[in-house]
Amino acid sequence: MSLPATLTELQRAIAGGELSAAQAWQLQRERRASLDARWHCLSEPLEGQLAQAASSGPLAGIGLAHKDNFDTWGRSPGCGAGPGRSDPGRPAAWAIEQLRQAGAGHLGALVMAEHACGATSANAHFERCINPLHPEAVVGGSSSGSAVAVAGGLAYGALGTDTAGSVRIPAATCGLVGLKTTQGLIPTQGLSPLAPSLDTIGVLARTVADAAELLKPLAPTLKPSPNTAPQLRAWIPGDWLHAEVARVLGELSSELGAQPVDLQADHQHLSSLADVVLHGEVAQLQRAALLAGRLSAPVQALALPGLLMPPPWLPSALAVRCAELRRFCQTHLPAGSVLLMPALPHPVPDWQTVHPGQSGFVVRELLALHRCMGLINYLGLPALVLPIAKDSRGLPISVQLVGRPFHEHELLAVAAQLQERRFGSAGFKPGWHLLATEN
Amino acid sequence: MHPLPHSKPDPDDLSVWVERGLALRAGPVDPAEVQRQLKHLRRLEPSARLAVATAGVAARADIPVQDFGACLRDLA
Repeated sequence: MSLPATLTELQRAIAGGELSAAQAWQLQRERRASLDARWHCLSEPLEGQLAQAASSGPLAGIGLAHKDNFDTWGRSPGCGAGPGRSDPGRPAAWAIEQLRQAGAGHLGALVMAEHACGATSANAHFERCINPLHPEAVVGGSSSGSAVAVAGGLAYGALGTDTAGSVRIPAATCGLVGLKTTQGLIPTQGLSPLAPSLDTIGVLARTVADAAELLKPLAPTLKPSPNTAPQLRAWIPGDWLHAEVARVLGELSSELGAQPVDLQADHQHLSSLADVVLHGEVAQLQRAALLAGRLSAPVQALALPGLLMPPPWLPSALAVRCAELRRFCQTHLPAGSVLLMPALPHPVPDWQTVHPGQSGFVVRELLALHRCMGLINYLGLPALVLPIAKDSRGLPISVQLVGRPFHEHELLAVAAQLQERRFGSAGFKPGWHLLATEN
Repeated sequence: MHPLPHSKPDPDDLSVWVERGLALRAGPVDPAEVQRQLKHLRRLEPSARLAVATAGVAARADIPVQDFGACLRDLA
């Protein structure tokens, strides 16, 4: 008996009686250890009764695994700094509990960049995560284990968190669909904060349909959009995109008849504001530990600039946020439209280029991973990354779709059409399940 | 340990501060080194005037902070 490649295929197999939810769950648990030995994505397997998949519910028998910055039943998360801590009586985070009530099982807490501070999987506390698509390719962060577990066949989907691209960057490096939801759509109760004004929960999945299934219990009140054919607009910055990425995005834009827009000035301005909020809020939360010299290097890297920024920067950046959002929507994202823009400006780099401390480390390559991300967090908008082509090494080149607030379904509808057009319903890698079982 | 360069950064460019922070990631964390770097960076702290110009916003106390969640819902 074998497991199918995608979450929605497994749902159909269980509904059709090809295998029971219990059998599916058992098969997923049996392969968990061998897959983790291969990809190094698990921080800690979960075994308690509440982590088991149910036999009924829309996600019955489905094995998920989640970034280790969510509370789980009786456990405080390790947040990428080590294993979690037993904490009897602690309830699970709201999002984790919603997935349990839908029938999903929780296979384990996943490796992440320490305290969600990092655009890659670099983490001194754990073995390096392996990108299932290519062993030399970087795994983006900070939800690095989430991307590897889903791409490597360990889990059918995963929660991540996105403060400055931490769902979208790992998804883009591993050929996955990564959905960052509208700020506030999914309650962050039970999530360890990084920068509360920007922190957002998102999902990583192998296909658009899988991502849509995961979103249902997480956003039960979100109404499907009646507009399945929004007007498409495209921003393709000519001067700092890698030629291969620019060509792929240019061809896609022409193919779809998207209206070109120029975000260059706003991109720079809004990214600066996003940086101010990110560094400022991390510094506020970590001030005591930073001044005492107790912060680890990755957290210190984010907190130091915030501590040293002039104090008016943070309140000023927050004060103009509503006005900036209204202006952005009015100018670039009117009602009924979806914006296409780059996800990563360069092809997926090798890990040694972007892991600090390696001889080949290039700081600007690391910063490039963030370049198209932070402004979206500042604006609080939903965004979805999706692979649309393969580069010369067979690694994904992804596009980022940005929608108006609470228009996740519109993004999913556009993404489903793009995925079907480029790779078919199986997504970027039809053999996800083979990656999981080959020796 | 990767000490910070001693050349004066462009105070208008936040990326300088970010890169300086990232440079710290390459080595082990030593509290004494953190204090030394903090002292060094404080000397380079840009003026509020330049800083505000960089962020492109007015640092005015009279800007009301609106409910961002309500703003998102308004635009849904």
